[in-house]
Amino acid sequence: MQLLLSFMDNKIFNYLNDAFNRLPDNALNNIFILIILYFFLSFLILLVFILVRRIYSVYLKRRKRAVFNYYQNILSKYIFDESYKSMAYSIFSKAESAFDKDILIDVLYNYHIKFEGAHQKILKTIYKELQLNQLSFEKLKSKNWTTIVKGIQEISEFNIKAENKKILDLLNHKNNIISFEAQLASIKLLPFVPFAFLDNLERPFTKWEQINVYDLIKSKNIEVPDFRLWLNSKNDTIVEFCLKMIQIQKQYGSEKEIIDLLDHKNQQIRKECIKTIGVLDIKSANELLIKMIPNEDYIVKCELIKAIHQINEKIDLNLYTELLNSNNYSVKKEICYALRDNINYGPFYLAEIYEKTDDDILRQIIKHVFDSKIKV
Amino acid sequence: MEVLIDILYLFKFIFDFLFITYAIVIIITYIILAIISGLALRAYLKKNKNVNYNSIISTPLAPSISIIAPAYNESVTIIENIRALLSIFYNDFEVIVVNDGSKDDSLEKVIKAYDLVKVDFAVNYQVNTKEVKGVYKSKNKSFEKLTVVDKVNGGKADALNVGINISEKDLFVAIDVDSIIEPDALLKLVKPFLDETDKKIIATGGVIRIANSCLIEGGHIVKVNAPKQFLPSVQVLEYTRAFLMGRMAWSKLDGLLLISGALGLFDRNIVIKAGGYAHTVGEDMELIVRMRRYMCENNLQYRVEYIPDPLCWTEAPSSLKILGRQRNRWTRGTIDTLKIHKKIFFNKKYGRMGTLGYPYWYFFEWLAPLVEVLGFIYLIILSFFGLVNWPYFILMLFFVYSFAMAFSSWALVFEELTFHKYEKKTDIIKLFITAHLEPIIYHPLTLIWAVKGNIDYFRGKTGWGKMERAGFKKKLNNIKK
Repeated sequence: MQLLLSFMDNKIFNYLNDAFNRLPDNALNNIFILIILYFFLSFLILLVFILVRRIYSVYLKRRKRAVFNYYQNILSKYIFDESYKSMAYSIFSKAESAFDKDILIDVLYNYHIKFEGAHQKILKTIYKELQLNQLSFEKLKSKNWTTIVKGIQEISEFNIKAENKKILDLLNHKNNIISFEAQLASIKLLPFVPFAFLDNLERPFTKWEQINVYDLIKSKNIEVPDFRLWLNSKNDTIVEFCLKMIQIQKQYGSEKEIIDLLDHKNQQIRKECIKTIGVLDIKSANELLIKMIPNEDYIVKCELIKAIHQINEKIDLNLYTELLNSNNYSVKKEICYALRDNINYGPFYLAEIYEKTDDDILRQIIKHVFDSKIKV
Repeated sequence: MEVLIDILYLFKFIFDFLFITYAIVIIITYIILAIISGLALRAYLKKNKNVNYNSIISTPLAPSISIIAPAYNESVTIIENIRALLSIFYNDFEVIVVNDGSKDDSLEKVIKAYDLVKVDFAVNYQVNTKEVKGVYKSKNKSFEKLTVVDKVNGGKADALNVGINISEKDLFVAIDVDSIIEPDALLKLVKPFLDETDKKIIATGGVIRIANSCLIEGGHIVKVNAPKQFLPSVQVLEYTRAFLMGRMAWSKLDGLLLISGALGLFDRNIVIKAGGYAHTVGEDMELIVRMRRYMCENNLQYRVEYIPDPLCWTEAPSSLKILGRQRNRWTRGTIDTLKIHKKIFFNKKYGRMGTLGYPYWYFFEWLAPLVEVLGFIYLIILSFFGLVNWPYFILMLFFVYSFAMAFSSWALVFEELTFHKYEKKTDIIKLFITAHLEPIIYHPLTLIWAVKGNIDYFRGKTGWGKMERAGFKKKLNNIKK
């Protein structure tokens, strides 16, 4: 009680109490009333905003669609019938507003992606003759990164090599998306050294970028480089990508470089390297792989067993028996798969273990690997 | 007597001060979070505007994914939902349906529909679970991506853990089997994993939307409609506020503590290292907190990402009884997680999770309804002593009411400017009217459920409570009628 009373005499308490009691009620109330009015008004304004915006966006969408369809129809006629050329040009050249020109570029761009050969040539000619490429170049100077990206995409799609330098300058742009678009563009625009950007890339080469580069190689039939060239890169993500590409493209001839990477400090690279050895069937690496097994953790161990299994060389039965007695489920399973597929003695050996072992997990794994309904 | 009156005034002063400060802080926090969310949403949409997700579909470079769907008494919808899961766009994926000891004929129906046979599957018990009775694979090649597991009932967390043990893929998606997943959900969820640079992505979550009154065909949403009933309608507002104005900001601030159990993509190895799902009713939140703890305690750089795209649709409870049970469970789950991980409260070692995320959940998610109820009790006591300034009280009431309405309106604007799922003008007007009614009709109920959840938690209640769903198929028939 004393404490409470002393607190009530406290200066801070008195100050706060006075401040609270002396609040100018009218002013404070007015502030609250204003805030309430603001909230109510914003409620109404936002409702009106949404409804008006909808009407406007429907209008804009319809207008865009109408112009888009109009240009598309004319372009379709011209592509398949040369006699429409003059009509098409006279209509396209009337596109003067930025709105119309942007839509025209979109129509040409979409068709350019879909078509090949002679049709593509016609589209590129229209794009250049109407000087729409100048608009794309202008986009590269924009402060808005999405506009720059659009410019890069247009220039690279129409294969306009005149501005290669500007695109290459963007390879090291601080905005990763611009830099990534520049990478894709350089693959299309630099026919002799399409993957030169890999030489200087210092930041991580993300999976998303890798996927898009791979997609581009597939869709545009770009000549695949010898990915072994970058296996010594200091950028681990590039090494990993190259190893994956060597697997996918089955690039033989890089055995030495791959074997050299087996003692790489990055586990992910070692893993990918072992996978590549399996895929490329590099039999000369078998002894080395067997030697690595005892020193690696279970993740790499599994990859090693898989690779040895894949290249189908002789196995070290003593080592495998030892590993079957280990505590790791995944390792045991990989060994069982390897033994199952070793037609000389594997299945018999597994059957023998199944009869003799007290390890229930191992027995289950043996049954598992022999069940044909379970796909690996 | 005078001393007593002084003491009463002292307490009144302290309580007035505390309640007003709390209200101001919470309102300012909501506004700040909404602003951060708005900016993050804008950046996300700009960044992903021209992304061609199709390049992920056929690539061998993307990580492999297991979709884990625990099922308990889902006989009404399970066949159609599995079909929808199998038709998801992705290259390397499998679907693992875990029948958690259903008492209905779910398993029999699935076995028949998908031509399943029992296989000798050796389960790798990396996370402890209840007994697995059998693993089934299809004889039909068209369904080779499907694995069905039958197990002894152990709850959702246990079923998810079984799925994790069965899976051998890099990542796994945890979903509710009765939810509807957008066909491109995996492509969008996996994108942050593909963008990973110096920080490891350990989990991504997507926005959950309400499917009541939507038109559904073949397990996919064909037409989005705002719910016809009031309760699901009000949940549309709640979900929009939570996902577009809250979690987006927490992801940006690196303090996200919850990825909804209805849809989340996780790094399987990290989940296993963190110990899998815990047996709590808030297993989704608890897992994220534990994964984050694991990363912090091992000095590993990481991020939990959030995707604002509407990727998953779920049936919201339309009866007070069921909704009450759900909210009761959510409250218990929150308290349990906060209690289990009390070590991170304002602990700098856990980064923004410790200094921002956890305190926010503690003060504003757990304590907010309790403070509100206490405030109400306080008002009754003051009015008993004749100490209430009624005009001032009414002014405050209007202030809070108008703020709630304006906040919901902003949530609808966010929705309109981003994903624009409710195309009918009448739907938007309906949701605006719901925003009017929500603070008066619905909000008091949420307080009651939250208080009940607190009482139940401290009395030791741990069950989920029975959740009944009408099922989308039945709903489709109703719509057609």
